[in-house]
Amino acid sequence: MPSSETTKPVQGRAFTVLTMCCAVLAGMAATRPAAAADPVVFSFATVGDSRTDPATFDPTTALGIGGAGASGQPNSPGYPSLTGTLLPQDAHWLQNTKDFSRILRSIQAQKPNLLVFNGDMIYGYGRPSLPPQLSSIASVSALVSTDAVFEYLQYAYWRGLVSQMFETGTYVVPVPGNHETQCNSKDTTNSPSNCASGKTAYVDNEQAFVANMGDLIEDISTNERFQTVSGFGAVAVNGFTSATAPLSGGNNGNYTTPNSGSPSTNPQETELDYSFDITVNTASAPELLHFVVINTDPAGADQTAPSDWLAADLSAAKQRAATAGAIPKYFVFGHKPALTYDYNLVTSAGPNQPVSAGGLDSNTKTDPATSLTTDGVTINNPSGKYQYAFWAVIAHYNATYFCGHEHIVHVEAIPDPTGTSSNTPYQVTVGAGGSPFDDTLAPGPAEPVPFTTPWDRFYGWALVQIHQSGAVTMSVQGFNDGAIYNPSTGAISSLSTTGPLQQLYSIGNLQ
Amino acid sequence: MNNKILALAAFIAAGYLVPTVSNAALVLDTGTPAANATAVALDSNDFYAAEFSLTGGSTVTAIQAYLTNSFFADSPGDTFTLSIYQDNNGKFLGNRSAAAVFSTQGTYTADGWNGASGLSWTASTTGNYWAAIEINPPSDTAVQLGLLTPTTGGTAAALAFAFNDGSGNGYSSANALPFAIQVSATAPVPLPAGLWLLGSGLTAMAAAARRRRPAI
Repeated sequence: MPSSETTKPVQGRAFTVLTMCCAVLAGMAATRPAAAADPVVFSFATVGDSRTDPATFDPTTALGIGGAGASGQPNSPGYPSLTGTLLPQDAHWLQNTKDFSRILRSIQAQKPNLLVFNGDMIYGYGRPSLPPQLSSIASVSALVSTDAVFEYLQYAYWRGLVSQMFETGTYVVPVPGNHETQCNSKDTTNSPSNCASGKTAYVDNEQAFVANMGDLIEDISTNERFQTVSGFGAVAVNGFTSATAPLSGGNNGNYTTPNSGSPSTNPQETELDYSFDITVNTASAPELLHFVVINTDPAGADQTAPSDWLAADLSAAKQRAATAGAIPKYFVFGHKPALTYDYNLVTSAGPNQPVSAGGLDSNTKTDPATSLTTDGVTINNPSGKYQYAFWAVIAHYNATYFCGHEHIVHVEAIPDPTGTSSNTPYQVTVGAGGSPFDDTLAPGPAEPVPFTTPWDRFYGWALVQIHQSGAVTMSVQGFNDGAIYNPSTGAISSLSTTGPLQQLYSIGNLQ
Repeated sequence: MNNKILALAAFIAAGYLVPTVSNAALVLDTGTPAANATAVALDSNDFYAAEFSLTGGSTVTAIQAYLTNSFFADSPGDTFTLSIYQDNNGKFLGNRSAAAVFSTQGTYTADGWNGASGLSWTASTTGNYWAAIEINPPSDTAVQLGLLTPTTGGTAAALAFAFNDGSGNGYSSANALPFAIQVSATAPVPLPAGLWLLGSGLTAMAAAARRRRPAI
């Protein structure tokens, strides 16, 4: 601490010295214990949902194109403006380029070995098959606006955005989301008859995901550059062939009632559900880090997770760890949450409105397999709820589940709903990669200010670090959307630039 | 001239030569954080600065920021950069090519006040300056440290705060958050006081010499 000055009159000097003493004492009281030297030996970042929406984009992502604000200030050209529009670039490629790029920049500064992207990298929602109207297409512009071409272009734009990560030592691992695997009848540019009413996953969409992301996934196994980029080799890959991948809806084919418009038989989910191991050396013992990616909207079984395949996969990883004398750590990534985060939704009906289930808990069908045995333990799930079986598996292995879909950042420890395990693993929702925020602050009754959960309108991501000591920590960080709120109504009154990078959650012992 | 007169002259001369040094005072003190204060992330992408006034001739002797290992990424001994930028009619803000007028390296030792002391950079002109904390690899070894938001008022509030999100646009004060930082500086002794010292010294010398002159 710097010393106080001595050139003031005695009375003023005494006051200054007293003030400084108080400041020093307060500083000492606030000082945390010294951080022990515990270097990071491996880390990964995870985020999802960077696509924007052509019709209902978040107002904080609009720019003052042609605006009249002071140069370099809100409402001026290129700066945030409530009365602005999407930058033509984002309106065309349907990506929140600016905010996702800032996330990528900050992740690069953290130097993680992996970046797992939790789905919805494109707006998609078409059906990338040969369009029925193909024979009548008479212009290039009509051709490139078809679902297949347009989705491939969106994939290419996103791939360009993340390409920088590989050059700075971070390998990008893709997870399929519903905007990749599903067709939305209101968005398809193909003949509407080609897409069932509502949102439905198709094999065409899954194949488009593999066509555009497959090189990243296959390289985890073939290792053309995975180890060179990440610094670690992946072994024990699973789900990369039809022999090891699950069927849509579960390896037992127990999703017996395919959705309307879906294939009559459940497709193989090769390269849509997959896993691999990375082993890191720590001070106490090697740690076997097991990474699993699941498709939560497979063709024929929307809103499901392959719980039985996952259970077998995690059990096998546990056995490998035991054989190697390593400590297993399990990280599972899927797009949709198992249980929807009920944030403070404000509508015209008032604040604190219930949030509609949008994750695996939105599946109204039941799994006929009401029990599941893994690792010698039987999980009884008499309710047949898909999300219950899934979470019971997560809890049994004390895995951490990372997801997106909800455009929000939230960390929650969730107990096993079946009561089989006493573990309360974390569900980490990091779906705030740039997509329009779910907490929309809709005009109407006031949202409490400050918010009940102040991070609901922050762009954010999670960083998980494995330390030399073997500890697994997680830091969730992000930045605000620049919205300035009317303190009496809670509505956005004006916009600024996005704020500084802040810590949103800090978990000292993730698992 | 005997030894006593020489010693007195040397003492006076020394007093004249070092009249501009006084003890350091806080010219920027934004307050102290609570243990659970919000942390902003300092890494090689996200930089922070606070604006303060400085009188020409003042010498900055220490810069300290309240840093924590909130992101589990760093160890004691990791280094970062402390810089001072001159705010010349707002040219610092938004100017991606602004050059620091002073830079030094600080060291993270433990959660709390960390920085650099024993500095001796003197401001040539009176005006507003920015104290910035940055991580510039490879010379800096810190990865990601937490800068805490102050929860108690400081003794010398910042004129403004700014941050740089790595976008290439430089620092911006829009939507910035306060963070705990302190700058210590010595104020220059005003010229009249120096002259008074010189005059009184010369008078004392003359008086001493006359007293010791032998009678004729």
